[in-house]
Amino acid sequence: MRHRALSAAVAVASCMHASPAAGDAPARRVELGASLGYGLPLGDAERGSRVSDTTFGDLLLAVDAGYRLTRRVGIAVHAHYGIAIPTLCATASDCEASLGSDVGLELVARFYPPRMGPFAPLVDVGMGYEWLTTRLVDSGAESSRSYSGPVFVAARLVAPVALGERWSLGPVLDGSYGTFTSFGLRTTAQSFSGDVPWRSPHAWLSFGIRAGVVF
Amino acid sequence: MRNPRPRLALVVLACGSCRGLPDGAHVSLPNAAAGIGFDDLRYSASLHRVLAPAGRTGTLDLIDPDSLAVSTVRGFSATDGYDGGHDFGATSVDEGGGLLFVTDRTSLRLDVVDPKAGTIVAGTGLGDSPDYVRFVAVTNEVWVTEPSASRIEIFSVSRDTPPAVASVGVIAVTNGPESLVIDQRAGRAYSHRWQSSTVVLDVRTRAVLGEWPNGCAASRGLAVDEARGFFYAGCDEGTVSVLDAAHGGRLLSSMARGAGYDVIGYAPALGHLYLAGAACSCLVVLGVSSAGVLSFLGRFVATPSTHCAAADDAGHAWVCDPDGGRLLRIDDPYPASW
Repeated sequence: MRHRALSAAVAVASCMHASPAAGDAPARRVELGASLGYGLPLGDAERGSRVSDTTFGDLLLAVDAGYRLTRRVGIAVHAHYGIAIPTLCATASDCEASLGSDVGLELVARFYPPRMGPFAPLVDVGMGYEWLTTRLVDSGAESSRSYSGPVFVAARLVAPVALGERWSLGPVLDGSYGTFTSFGLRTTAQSFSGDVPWRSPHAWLSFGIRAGVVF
Repeated sequence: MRNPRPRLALVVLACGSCRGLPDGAHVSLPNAAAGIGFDDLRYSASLHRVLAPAGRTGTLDLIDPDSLAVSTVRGFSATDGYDGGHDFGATSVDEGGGLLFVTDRTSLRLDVVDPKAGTIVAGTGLGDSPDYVRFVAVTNEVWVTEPSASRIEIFSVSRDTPPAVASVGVIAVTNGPESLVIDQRAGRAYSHRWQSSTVVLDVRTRAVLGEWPNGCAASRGLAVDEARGFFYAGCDEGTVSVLDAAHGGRLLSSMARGAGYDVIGYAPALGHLYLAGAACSCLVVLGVSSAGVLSFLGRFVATPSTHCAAADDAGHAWVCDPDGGRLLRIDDPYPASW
């Protein structure tokens, strides 16, 4: 089902690119963006284990690169690195050492709705893959849980305001929905890994600010 | 296995961070409106009562697991204020030889309670601030962990009425001791170091028999299955490990669910572990097979201040709710894990 959704988005993008109306070609086709934000976890890492059990959320650094096919449609790739804030740790040094990570890669279709006042919004819809690691370090002893799996749907709404001819800045609201298919558990005694036997959905709801530049 | 209920997925996600109301029957304890700093929770099969040292309230509370009726033993340190911690008054209890042994973290005393009379009948001073008290049947002793002194203090209990209690020795446990459990059948005591390992002691000779890796970054609760020879180590980070006590502590299984565990409960008749965690506001139930393999059975909503669980012999898990000054009794719906 997720393949169909992406295929449809790409097909729409391709069709619109294949027969652009006169004057429809954008002046600048390449756009790069970088954003900072915070992500809230929802749902389960696996059955019986919520993502929020081990992390309050992510401090996110994300970058994206897009190519505008027409005035209204493009494609883009996203990558993010999130610093997962641990729910448990005793001292400042332990908390620093207990920071986890959430890494994601996504391929998206990008849509450019009509301007709304000062905003020139863009909407991304696509899919990707995610790797999450949370950990607890206690006086040097470390235990961690790792998960990875597909992101079925990633959607992003950006409402940038132009800052001159090429630069823009604006808020970004981001959501993703997926499931983890592989896990790893590293204790102070042994390490285990394998397929998640009982998969369960999770999501991230993120908000932040994005700077963009077009070429 | 695919998610069997995909249409519920969005509902589940929508409530992914919901804590909700805690599950189970709620048992409010006397004088508990301000909260109670629980740090131990036990069940006495011979008394058929859950034993809850009720911290700052100055009481030891005994709860009938069927009727939920509460009776109290008074005489421990008391105060009206609750600061969210668990360092005031009666904080640990164990039953043995028809008596109850209670440590008072404020008066620094070990008190002996006659449960029939409901009164303190004997006691003695402790060498340092107590954490857990456990009765050793084979030696008729009481062992008390004193983490700030990195030791276990041992008390003899005479067979007089009332009994005389006297300190008779200490066992040093560096970087510990955290928690304490007695395997009465094997004549062993287990106590964690704060990280990574568990110390195994002979209760007769008081000698250290070994030290086993327990898988924990932050060691917390523990339990034993005397009949099956399993030792369970619970970790703050939400990992639980099963060790083969009969074969040098060989690691049999580990699993991570939830987080923030401290005092763990175990129902040997069901082979079920009960893990209550503050970080997850939850009670997780795990099954232990005859081979020592853990399986996830279920998860219940608890409260954000919980950190202790116990099991009775009537199919209930008990969960402490310090901020609410109450206990939660949760019916275990799962079949035995044999």
